[in-house]
Amino acid sequence: MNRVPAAVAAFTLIEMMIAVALGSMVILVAMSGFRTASQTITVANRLSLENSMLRSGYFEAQMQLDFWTNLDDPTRPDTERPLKGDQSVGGKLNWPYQTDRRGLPFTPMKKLSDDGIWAKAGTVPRVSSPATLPDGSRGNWVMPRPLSEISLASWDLDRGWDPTFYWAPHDPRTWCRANMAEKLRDNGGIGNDGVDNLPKMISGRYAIFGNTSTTPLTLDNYNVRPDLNHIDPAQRQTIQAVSYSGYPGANIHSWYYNQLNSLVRAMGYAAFCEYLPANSIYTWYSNSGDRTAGGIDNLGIVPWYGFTNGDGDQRNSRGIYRNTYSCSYGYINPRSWDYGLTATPPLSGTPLNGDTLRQRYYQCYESDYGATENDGAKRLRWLLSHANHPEQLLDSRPSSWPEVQVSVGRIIKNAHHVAVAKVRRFSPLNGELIELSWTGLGTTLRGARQQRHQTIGWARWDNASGATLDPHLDTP
Amino acid sequence: MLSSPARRGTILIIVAGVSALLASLALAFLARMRSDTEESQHLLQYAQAKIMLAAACNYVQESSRLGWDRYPATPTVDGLQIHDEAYGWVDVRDGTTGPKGKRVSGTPGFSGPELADLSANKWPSVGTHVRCPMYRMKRPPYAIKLNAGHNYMVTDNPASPDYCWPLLKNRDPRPAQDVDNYPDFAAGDKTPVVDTTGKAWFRVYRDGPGTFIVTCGSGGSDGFKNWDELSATEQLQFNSDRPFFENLRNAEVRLHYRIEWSAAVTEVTYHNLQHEIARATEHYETWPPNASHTWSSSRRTQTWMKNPVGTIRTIQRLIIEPSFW
Repeated sequence: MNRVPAAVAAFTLIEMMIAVALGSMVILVAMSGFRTASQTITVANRLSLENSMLRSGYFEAQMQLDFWTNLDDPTRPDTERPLKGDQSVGGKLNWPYQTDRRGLPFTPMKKLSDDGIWAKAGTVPRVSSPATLPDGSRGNWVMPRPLSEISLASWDLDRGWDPTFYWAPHDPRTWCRANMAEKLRDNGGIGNDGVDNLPKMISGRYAIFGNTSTTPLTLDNYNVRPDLNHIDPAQRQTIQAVSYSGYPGANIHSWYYNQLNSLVRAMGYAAFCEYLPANSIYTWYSNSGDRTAGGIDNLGIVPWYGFTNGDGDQRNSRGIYRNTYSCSYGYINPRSWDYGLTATPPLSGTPLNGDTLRQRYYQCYESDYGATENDGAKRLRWLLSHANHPEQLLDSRPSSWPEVQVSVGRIIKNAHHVAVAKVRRFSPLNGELIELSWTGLGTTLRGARQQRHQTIGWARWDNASGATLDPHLDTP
Repeated sequence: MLSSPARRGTILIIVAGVSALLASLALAFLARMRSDTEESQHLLQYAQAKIMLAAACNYVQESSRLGWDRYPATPTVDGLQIHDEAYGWVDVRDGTTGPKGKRVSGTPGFSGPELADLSANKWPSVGTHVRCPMYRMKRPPYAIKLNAGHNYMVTDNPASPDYCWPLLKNRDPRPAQDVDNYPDFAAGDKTPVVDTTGKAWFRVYRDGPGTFIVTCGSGGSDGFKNWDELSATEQLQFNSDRPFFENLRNAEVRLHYRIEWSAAVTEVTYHNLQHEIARATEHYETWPPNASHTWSSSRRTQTWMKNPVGTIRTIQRLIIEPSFW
C-alpha cells in the first residue's frame, strides 16, 4: 500500500479548526471594525447633516434680519406681495377711521402719495443730486438743511415724504408744540375733573399754535369752573364756556402734525414708530376727525384707540416709551395663519389676508402685566406667534432628514426695536428639538424699503459718481 | 509547516482590502469633519462680523459726543489733554456739520468751533474713513476696577471706630491697575492681548454729516480695503507680502451697511417713568407739581432714560460692495 507523503498532505483536522477559528476571528474583527466604522460614518453624516441644516437655518435667519425676505420677497410679482398694497380697512366695527385707506410696510411712497394717504404738496424742492465728495464719491442724499432754508415759510408748509430730509432736532418744524399735561377726561365736560383736580387744558389751547390746519377755525367750546376757591360756594359751580375762533392764525406750525397725521396711516403702527425719530411725541392737533376737546386726534391720546394703549388709563400725550410699555406693535408675517384669540394656537391654517391682515398692522398688542392671563395673554401669544411665524427652511426633503424652521419676528417693546431670530431643528428619528434664539441687529424697515426696487426686484445702489441708482420704495 | 504563497497572498489581499476600506472610511470621516469645521468657521466669522455692526453703531453714537484729539495738537491744562464735549455729528444747535465744541461768547452763530479740522482730508471729515481693528487691550485707557464696593461698612467688628459708619475713605471708582500717576491711568496699556488680534474689525466711512457707510469684517485684513491702500509702513504688518494679505482678505467675511445717526433720543414724558413713584426719591423730579396724576408723595425721575449719544435711525445692508467705503 502506498502511503501519501507527509509533505503533500492537506490540513490536519486540528490545523483546519485552528485556521477556521483564527480566520473567523479575523473576519469577525474586520466585520466589527467595518460595522463600527460604518456606524460612525452614518452617525457622523447624520450629525453633519443636522449641523449643516442648523447652519443653513442660521444663515437664513441672518438673511431675513438684513433683507426682510420673510415679510416681502421683492423678486415676486405684486400679486404675491401682500404687504405692498394699500386700501381701506373695509369698515371694520370698532375700528378708528375705518373708511380711510391705509398702506402697509412695503407700500411704495409714490403709491401712498398718489392715493392721497401721504400726498406730496408744497414748493420745497427735494435734493436732486448729492454733492460729490473730495474723494470722488457720491455723497449721501440725506442732508441737514441750512438755517436760511428752514426759516422760509414754505419749509413748514411742505407735505409728504422727503427721502433727503434729515429730521434734525435743531429744525423748528420737527418740534411738537403740545400741551403735555392736557388730558382726555370727560367728567361731564367740566374742566376740573374731580379725580386729579386739574383741568384737561391746564396750560391753554395748544391747537392755536400748531395744527394740521393752516386756516382759521372755530374750536370747540371748553367749559371750565374758573374759581373753585371762590368764597361763595355757588360761584364755584359757575360754568364758563371758553371759545376760540379765528385760530390757528398766521405762522401756524403745521408740518409736524401733518407728518404724524399721514404717517399713522401709511405703513402700520410699527412702521409709524420706525420712521419717526426717537424723541417724537405721538400727539397732533387736528382740524378733522375724532378729537379731544382740545383738538388732539384721538389716535394720539385716547386709551385703547387703535394706536394708543390703555395702561394706567393714561389720557395724555405719550412718547415711544409709554406707547410701548404695556403694549407692543409688530410686523405680522403675511403667511401666518388666520385665527382669533385662543389659548392654543393651531398648527396649521389659511394665511392672513386682505382687511384682516391690514387690520393687524394697525393695532397694539398687550405685552406686559396685562398679558399674563386671559385675553391679554392670548393677545400676546397671537402677536408672538404671528411675528415669529416659523417657516420651513426646505420646501421638500427626505422624510428622514431633520426639519428646520426659521423665523425672524420684529416688535417694538419699551421703546426698543427688537428683532428676534429663531431657528428650530426637529429630528424625526429621535424626536429631538433644538431651538437657537437670539436678538439680532440688522436692516431696519427704512433700509429694507430702500433695498427694494419700486416695481420688482432689488434696487441698485452704489456711491460711485455716475453709478445707476434705481428708484426704490421710498422714492416719492 | 510552511504556508503556500497562495495562502499568504490571500491573507494579504484580505488584510489590505479591509485596511483600505477602513482607511477610506476614515478619510471620508475626516473630510466630512473638515468640511463641517470650515462651514462652522464661516458661521463664526459671520457672527463676528455682525457683532462688529453693533460695535460700529456704538462707535458712531459715542463719538458723536465724546471729545476729540485736536489738529495739530490737543490743548492741555496742567499737562492733561483737554477733550471738549461735542454736540453731535450734526450739531443740535444749528444743524451744521460737527463735531463742534462749546460756543464761544461773542462769536457769531449758534454753534462752537470745530473740534477737528473738518476741511482736512482726514477723519472725521465728510468723505473720509476710520479703520477700527478690534482687539483686546491689556488695559484700556481710564480702566477702572469692577468691584462694586470700595467703601463697605464695617459690620463685623464692634470695636472698630468705623463700626456701622458709612464712611467714604477710599476712592471710588478705583483704577483697574495701580498706576503711579494719572497720565498712566489715562493712557492705559494698549498692547494687544495675544490671540485677540486679526479676528474682527469695522470701518466707518462718513458720506454725509450724519450718515455713514459701515463695513464689518471678520478676518485678518484689519479693515484695509486692498493692498494699494496700505502705506509702506502698514505693509510691514503683513510682511510686505501682497499675496499673503490678499489671502487674508479673500478668506474673511465683509458686510456693508449704510446707517444714519440722529441726535434724537427717547423722549421723557410725564408718564414714562410711572413705575418710579415713591421708589426712587434720590433723583431730581421731572414731574411738574401741577401736572395731572400727581399727588403729594409722587416722584418721577428720568434716570433710566439717559442717552447722551443719539440713536441710529436707520440701517441698510448693501447688496453689493460700494465703490467707496
